[in-house]
Amino acid sequence: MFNENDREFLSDDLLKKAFNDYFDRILADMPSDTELAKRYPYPESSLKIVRRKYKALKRRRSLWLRYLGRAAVIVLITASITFGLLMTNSDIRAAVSSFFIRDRGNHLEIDFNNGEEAVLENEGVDPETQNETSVLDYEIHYIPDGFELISEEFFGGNIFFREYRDANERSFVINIYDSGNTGFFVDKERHKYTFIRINGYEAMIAYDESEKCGLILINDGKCCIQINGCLEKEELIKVARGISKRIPEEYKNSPVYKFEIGYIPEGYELNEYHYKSHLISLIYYKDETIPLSIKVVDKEKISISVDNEHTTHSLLTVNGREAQMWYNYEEGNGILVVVYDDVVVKIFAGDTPEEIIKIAENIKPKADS
Amino acid sequence: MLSVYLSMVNNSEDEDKILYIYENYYAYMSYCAEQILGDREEDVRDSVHSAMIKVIERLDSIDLTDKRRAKNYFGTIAKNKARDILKSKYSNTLPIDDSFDLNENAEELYIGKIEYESLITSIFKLDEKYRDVLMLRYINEFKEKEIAEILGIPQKTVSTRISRGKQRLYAILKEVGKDV
Repeated sequence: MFNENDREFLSDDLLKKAFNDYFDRILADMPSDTELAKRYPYPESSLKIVRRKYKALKRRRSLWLRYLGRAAVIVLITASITFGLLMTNSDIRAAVSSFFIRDRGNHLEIDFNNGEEAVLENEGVDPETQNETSVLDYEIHYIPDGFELISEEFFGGNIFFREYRDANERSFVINIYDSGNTGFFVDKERHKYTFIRINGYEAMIAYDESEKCGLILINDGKCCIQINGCLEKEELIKVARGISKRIPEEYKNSPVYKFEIGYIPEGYELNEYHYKSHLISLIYYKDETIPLSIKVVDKEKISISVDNEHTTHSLLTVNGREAQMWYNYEEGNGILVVVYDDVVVKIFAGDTPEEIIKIAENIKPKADS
Repeated sequence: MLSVYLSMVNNSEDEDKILYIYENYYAYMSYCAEQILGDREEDVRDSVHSAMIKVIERLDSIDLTDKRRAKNYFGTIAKNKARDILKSKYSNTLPIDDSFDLNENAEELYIGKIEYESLITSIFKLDEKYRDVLMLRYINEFKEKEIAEILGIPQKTVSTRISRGKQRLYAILKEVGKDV
């Protein structure tokens, strides 16, 4: 029998490592899953059930294959009754805001917690517009130079596809889905993934540095926006930042929507926006730290508080209108308020007084209003 | 057969789980069963069917998040069912010997330093009945009681196989070590 030294030698830790390594070698020598599937096809009777059960999934998969091309991301759009229900108590759940992530070995399976919780997590969501959003309610403001729209499709009432291509046959797609019916598999071995904030929402970016291809997923609680393709990571992010909700039709008679913003200083990127019947609120950041907040607010619904103690107050005229500025020279930021007939424009920025004034001068009533 | 499996559960969550297992591990289980049964196609199918039934019985406790562990779990069940078929149908041609020669004196086989690689080689040489139990123990980290349920053997047998498996592994290790 073993003596105590032997038992120590064959410790549980050593055996655990050894058996796992042994199994890895067995798996490495085995035929691939694809080969096994060919060698051991399902019995015909089972195949019919699988086909029936996954009818919707397969239809959508085929669409994916059309659109993804050589994009290095495995993505499946699942019917809500399939993978959405696979989560068990033992699943690894990583709830990053509205993203629900499960580790499936080589892949991450992602779906979305579509509902109140997601809305609460995303402070940029306007509850007034949230329930009315459909996949068609988005505007695309930025497409990289040289890319042209080659196809646009809307089907099933909840999926919107756009594909762009350039002269070098590089392509990317923008897809917008109903979050409740969408799930994704992301190959985690090839893609580094992280979370960033885009337009006020949590966004996942998975990028393959060697292929220069990647995927961005944004879930705004109602819809999932996906940008997928072979672009530089910064370009992908820029495309993602350029997708925003359309202003609801019923808001368009509000005086605040009769204004347009004509100038944003170099380097600022939109981080968050709110559209309400009485308010347009846009928040930008430069270098992720320097804020720029622009608010166009119904005159009767605004109150402004300022720090009189640490700021220098100035009376100005902007666009022929009365304006006041409170600037903190010590911190390098200030507030500028311009009063129009029905609305007040308020700008807060960590920029020079000259730049703040320039921003204000370029916020004007639209020509047709 | 899939319709049979689906009829064994009462909710769509379990149905989807079965479908997922079937889609992802049916071929692998067939492969594992074939390693035991050779080209006896009908027996391979029967093994996988029996394995699926076993899987469904333990559906609540199955962890699908780690594909390696899941493969080991489903593969072990399939091989075990394949061996059951061998025992019942071909017992004259392939006797299953659950005994182990305890005369080997492990104390005398003690080696001060043994290459890790030799340990892996020893696992390859270990009798499958011990290896399967030890793999469920060390890869899936199942308790003896769970292994007993999975393999359909008494817990005491599991305990014995773990103990004897380690002894046997050590004995093989010593032999392998001589050749290194």
